[in-house]
Order: sequence, then C-alpha cells, then structure tokens
Amino acid sequence: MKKEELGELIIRNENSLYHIAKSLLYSDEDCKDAIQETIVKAFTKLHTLKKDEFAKSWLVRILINECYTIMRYEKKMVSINEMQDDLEIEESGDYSDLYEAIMHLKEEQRLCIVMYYIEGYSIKEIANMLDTTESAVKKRLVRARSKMKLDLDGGMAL
Amino acid sequence: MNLIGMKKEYPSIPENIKTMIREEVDAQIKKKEKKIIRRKRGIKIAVAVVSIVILTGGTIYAIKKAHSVSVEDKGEYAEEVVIEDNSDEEYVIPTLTFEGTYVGEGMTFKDVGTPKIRYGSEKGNESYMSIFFESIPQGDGSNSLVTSVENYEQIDINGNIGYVFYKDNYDDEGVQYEIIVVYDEFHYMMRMLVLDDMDIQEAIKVAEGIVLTPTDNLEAENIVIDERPPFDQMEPQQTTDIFYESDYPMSIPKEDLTIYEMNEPFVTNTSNVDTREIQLKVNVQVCDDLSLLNKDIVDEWYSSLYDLLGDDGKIHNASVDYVVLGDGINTVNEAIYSEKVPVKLVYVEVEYTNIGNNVITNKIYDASIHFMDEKEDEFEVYTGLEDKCEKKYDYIDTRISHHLHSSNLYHYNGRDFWEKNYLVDLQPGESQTVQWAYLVAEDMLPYMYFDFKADTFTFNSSKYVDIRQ
Repeated sequence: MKKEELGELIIRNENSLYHIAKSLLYSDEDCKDAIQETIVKAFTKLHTLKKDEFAKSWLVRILINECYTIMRYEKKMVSINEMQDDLEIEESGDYSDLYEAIMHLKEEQRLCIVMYYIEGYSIKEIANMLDTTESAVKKRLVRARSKMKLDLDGGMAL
Repeated sequence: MNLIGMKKEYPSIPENIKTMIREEVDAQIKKKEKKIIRRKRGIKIAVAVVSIVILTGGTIYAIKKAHSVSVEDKGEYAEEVVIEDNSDEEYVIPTLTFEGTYVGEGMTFKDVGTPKIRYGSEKGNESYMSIFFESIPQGDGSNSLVTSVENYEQIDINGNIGYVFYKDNYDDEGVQYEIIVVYDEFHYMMRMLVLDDMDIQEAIKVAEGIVLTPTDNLEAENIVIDERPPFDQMEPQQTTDIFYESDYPMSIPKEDLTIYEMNEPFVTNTSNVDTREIQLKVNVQVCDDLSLLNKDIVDEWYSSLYDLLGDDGKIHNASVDYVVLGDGINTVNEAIYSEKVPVKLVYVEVEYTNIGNNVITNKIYDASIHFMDEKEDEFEVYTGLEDKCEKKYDYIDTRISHHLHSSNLYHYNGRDFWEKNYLVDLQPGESQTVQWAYLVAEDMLPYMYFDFKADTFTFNSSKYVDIRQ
C-alpha cells in the first residue's frame, strides 16, 4: 500500500477512528492523542501491513492499542465515577443517554458494541481486530445489550 | 430507541480532530522514507553461520538438550505441540537478534521487530509468511495448539527439531502451512505462518536460513520479540446460534422512507454532508469493464482493479464460497456451497450543488449501495442469498468480495484525487460531480438503492435514490 492510499484510508475512516477511540477514552483530547499517534505509527509501520485488504483492521488495531496505552500509562482509564465527574465538569449534557449507557459497559463490551452497531463491522472482523474469537465477541455483545437494557429507562429495542 | 437511531446518538467527531487528522496525514506523506537495505546471502553461508552461533553460543546455552518436544492429537483437527523442560539447572533466556539469510526469488523482508517478522513479495504487497518467536519458560515448558491441521511431518532445521503442519484449505487467516521449530539452546520456539502464495519448500529454506544470535545489547537491531501469535487459542470455542438471527431491522414500512429517482435533485441531511445547503443528483451506469472510470486515476491509484479483468478485458465472474466456521479442533471451516457469480461494475455519478449563499468547505461525503426488495407495503433488506444457500453459513469467501457488499472500490471527485471524499471548496451555485464505482452481482442489480451513508447493511437512512437496473 502506498502512503497516499493509507492517507486516503485514514481520512475516509476518520469518523470510525474517532468512534472507536471514544468508546475507550472519554476525553476528546485523549482521543485526539490516540488517533494522532495511530496515524504516525501506521505510516511508520506501513511496510509491515500484511495485505492491503487488512489495512482498515490493521489501523483499528493500532488505534485500540494506542487507546489502551493511554489508559494504562497515563492512568486515564475511565471509571464510572470519573466519567460522571467529567460529565458534570466539562461536557455535561453533550452526550446522549445511549452514549452514557455504552460508557457504563466494560471496555471490551464497549468496543464490541461500538464496532458492531455503530461502525457496522461483522463479528468476524471484530474478532480479528480484537484478537479474540467470534464466539467471544458474540458473548460480549449479548452481555452488553443486556446491561444496556437495564441501564436505560424503559429498555432499548436492541 | 432502537438500532436505527444508535449511530445518531453517538458523539460526532469534533472539527479540531478532523483538522488534526488531515494535517497529520499530510505531514506523514511528505515525510521522507528511510531506506532499509537487506542483505541477501545463499543458504550455504546461512548454515555455516548457524553452526558458528551454535558452537560459540553452546558453551553458554547449550550443553545438552534442555527440552523435549512432542505432538499430541487434540480433537479431530488440532495438534498440540508440547515442549517440556528437561533442564537440571536454572537457565537464562537470552536476548536474541534475528537474521534471515535466505530470501527467495521475488521475496523480501517486510519487517523485523514488533511484533513479528514478515516476508513478502518484492513488488506489490503480497505477504508470504509471518514469524513469531516465543520463549520457553523454565519449569512450565510450552504448549501450542495448531488448529485446522490436515496432516503434519517432523523436519530437521539445522539440528533443531521442527514440524510442518499442513492446514485446511479454508483457514480463516489464509495460513496454508505452519512451521514450528524449537531452538533448544536458546529456549525459544519459532512459529512460522506460511500464507497461500508461498511454496512450502521455499518456506523451509527460509527457516533454515534463520540465524539467531544472543546479544547483551538491548538496543541492537532486529531484536527478537517474545510473543505468541495473537490468534493462538488453547481452548475450543463454543459456537452459538444467537447471532445467526439478524439483530437488524430487515424491513421498514414504505412511508418511513423517501425514495428519489435518478437525476431527481434533492436535499438531504442524512448524508455525511450534513447540511441542507447541498443539493444532490444521482446518475448510474452499469458496465462490465473499467471504461467508465478515469484511466489516469485507475492507473495511479486503483491499479488493482485490473486484476478484476479477464483476458478479454471484461470483468470476470466472482468465485463465491459460503463457509461455515469450524472451531479448528473438532471441526474445520467448510464450504457448504460454492458458485460462480457474474458481476457488473456499477458506476455512479453524484452531483453536489451548493444551493446556499455561503461557501461550503471541507465537507466529507460518503455513500454506499443498499439492496432492498420492494414489497407492497414495505421495503425488505435484500441479501440475495436465501435462495442460493439455504443452510446457515458464517461468511462468504470470494475473490471479488465487493459484489455482496456496499462499499465502493473507486471514487474520484473529478478535480484532485487528494481531495478524496471531501467537498473542499464549493462556492454558492457551484456544482461538483463525484464518481463512484461498485462491483455488484448481476442478479442484485434490480435491488439497488443509493444510500448516502457508508458501510450500512440495515436501514440507517430514511432517504435513498432508486438506482435499480
């Protein structure tokens, strides 16, 4: 893949990259850092890309790793309490009940929900990107939906 | 609230992040590449080097065999490679550097380092193999499961015990063979995943050409990363039927959708172009070659499209396999239905016109083809599969994968390729025409609707353009 093609891929999928980052990192600044670092690493490591058709998955995997790095090393893992504090302090009212419900899920469930329902990836694609099995992805989705139904008043028609 | 509304409820990307992305991409593209020169040497030299390494390293690491290796059947199709620690004394797992002294014709190193070592084609982007190294912890030994194995044989790699596992044809990752070698003196094992396009004898030569050298320099080039392949699973996975049933709405009442005709101007806020000041107009042509596409753009950016053409210059049929996944242990992936599908190139032109009074800048747009079956009172999602494959399947394996999917394989805004799917600068009253191309199975043509959302496979939009042919 040429650098220009990678650039095109990134720009075409910028919404997707943001959504996935936003499923793990609550702060937009952290999302920005993760995406920026992902872009730098993707270009640096472009020669390691196995097949062009895997480029999008590969990019998402880099992004997820970057998000985890930020969560791990900068200790910015979003707990429910921290999230609520953040909500009140800086971005209160900006996000929907649904997003809040998603953010109450465990992180691996959040990722699956966002990738499956928001981004439209298949179970197989998600499994590949998360280095897990399709069965595990299905289970995470089932559990996430159950939790969200409980969290949202009146339940969601999921 | 339901799934249709879910995406709308999720936060949208802020403009400052969009700007950062474009600026960073631009900066990275302009950055100069560092040239990496790889040495190529013959196999005879490689063997000699290995011998020296073993001799010099042996006084430190290899007095006797520290590990025993066996292969045990697991289920019908998996083999477990069991490495047991036989050492009497405490051992140190050294830091190793990697050198691949055999590089076959047309082959090149693609990467050395985190997290794997990869060989690929010298020209193009084909991958041939990925190599992982994993240390063998003292006391615990190591167990590695190789799934979807048809048969295997033991081999000798420069005095090291190795195995070649011949995998099932429908391996998900495209892995045709897996070679495992135990480097006893270094307490490491290697897993070499060989992809479809690679000859097994060539792969063995690559394995024989691998030189591992202990080092104290943690900054040394090509240090071996201790990592298990990410897909490695030791437990059989239970499959479940729960997601065979669609979670998505498969039909929608007609009154909930607005359907526009081709060449009918309309304004929508359901597209990624999120403004009511842009008018859209859609036109479609169907052909069986690439003649409608801009040749210069295809040559420069989409040259892989030529792979779709047969000797007669026409798009050839797609081979389609409907595959049921196995767990790789008691069952393997199986094609339960196969067919050849004629496909067409669907060429779509979308005219975007600024009908407002302000300049529109940097508006991203995207689109896809949505397949719907018009019934008396509703539209149903049309998959085109039910009649052909009555059994449940997990995925469709096809060389032309786009024919059943909605994502485009070509788009060009007619001005500058680097403007991509952005309306960079649209003056009041100005129009800009964007070209898209999709591959669609011939029998899906009567079900096509154009959707100004990308990657959709349910009713995410309320406005579509009827482009049925």
